[in-house]
Amino acid sequence: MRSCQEVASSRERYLALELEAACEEEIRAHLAGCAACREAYVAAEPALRASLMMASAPLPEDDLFVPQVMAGIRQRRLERQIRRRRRSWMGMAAAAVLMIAGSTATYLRLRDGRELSHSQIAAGRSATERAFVAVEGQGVRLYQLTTGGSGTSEVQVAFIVDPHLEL
Amino acid sequence: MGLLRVLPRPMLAQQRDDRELVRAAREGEEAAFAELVKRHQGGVRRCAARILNDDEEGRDIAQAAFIRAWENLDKYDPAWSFSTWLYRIASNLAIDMLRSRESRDRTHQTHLRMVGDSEGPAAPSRLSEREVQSIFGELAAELTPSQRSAFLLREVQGLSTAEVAKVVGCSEPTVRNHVFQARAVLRRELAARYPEYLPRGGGR
Repeated sequence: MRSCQEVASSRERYLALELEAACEEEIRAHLAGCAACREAYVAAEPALRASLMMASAPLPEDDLFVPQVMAGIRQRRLERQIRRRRRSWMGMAAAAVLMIAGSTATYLRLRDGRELSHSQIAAGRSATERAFVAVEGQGVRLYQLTTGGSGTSEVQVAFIVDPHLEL
Repeated sequence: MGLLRVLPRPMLAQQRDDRELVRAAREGEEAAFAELVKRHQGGVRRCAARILNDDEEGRDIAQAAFIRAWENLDKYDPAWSFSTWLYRIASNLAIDMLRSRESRDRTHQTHLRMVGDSEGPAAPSRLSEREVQSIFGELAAELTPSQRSAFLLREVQGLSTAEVAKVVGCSEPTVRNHVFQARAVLRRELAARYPEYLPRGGGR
């Protein structure tokens, strides 16, 4: 523990930030407990009043801090796992949609070949059948829109990929 | 005859130094990181709260700093002390928040005066820590974020100039410069707004 005289003699160098860290630490400890030396330092540098008081003020106990940080870490980790799983699931879903769309389109083309020529002969006009892939948020839907030979329209939902379903 | 086997006992988290704890935490040992949080939470909370002049926001920022530290443990360079690295994360987060807050409501910076005008300010010797913090918060609005964090880390947290330079990301002479400028601004503002708190003789 430094004496008041030593602390007083170190004042200029303390204020000039020239002291060794250990020496500065000792002076801070002395100033925290010695009002006379503290006032002498504050007289030389008024801005020190705030810093010295705030430095010596005890921090209120916070028992919840550590558990809350660890809970936050676990939550982040969980979110990251879910994101990773969702990414791989979405990849699989996209691949499945492409396969289904491809096979549906092939099937429709083959069927169109037969039905189109038949209806063109029968009604004298063309019919179109198309498949749509719609992405709504995280949902992927495949629609088949069919215009019937009699002129009435109907919408047929061929397949819906729901990301909330577990594979 | 029974064979006595001496199994190595796992070392308690409290017995290990920061670097050992960081190594264990990198390998996924949660208890090791919890011990690091326990050890450093006081300083980090205080640092963030002082920069923001708000205990609750400081607590939130301190928590965010620890979570970010956990997520970036792989990037931690053991050449630094762990606390210096934490202070860097926390002070950067706090300064970011300070900047967004300042740009949001510059007009509300002067409402922090807690000493009632009708009663007049308390005598300096009776100032509570809360009042000092409040007054500092008001005066510190005049400091740049770099000056504020350098002053708080150097003068309140008691970090060395070299440590503050690492935290703030500048040279040691720049840190000294920030601290001297911060003191000058605080002196000037104190004289203008709270002359009753100036020591007799007026200081420097």
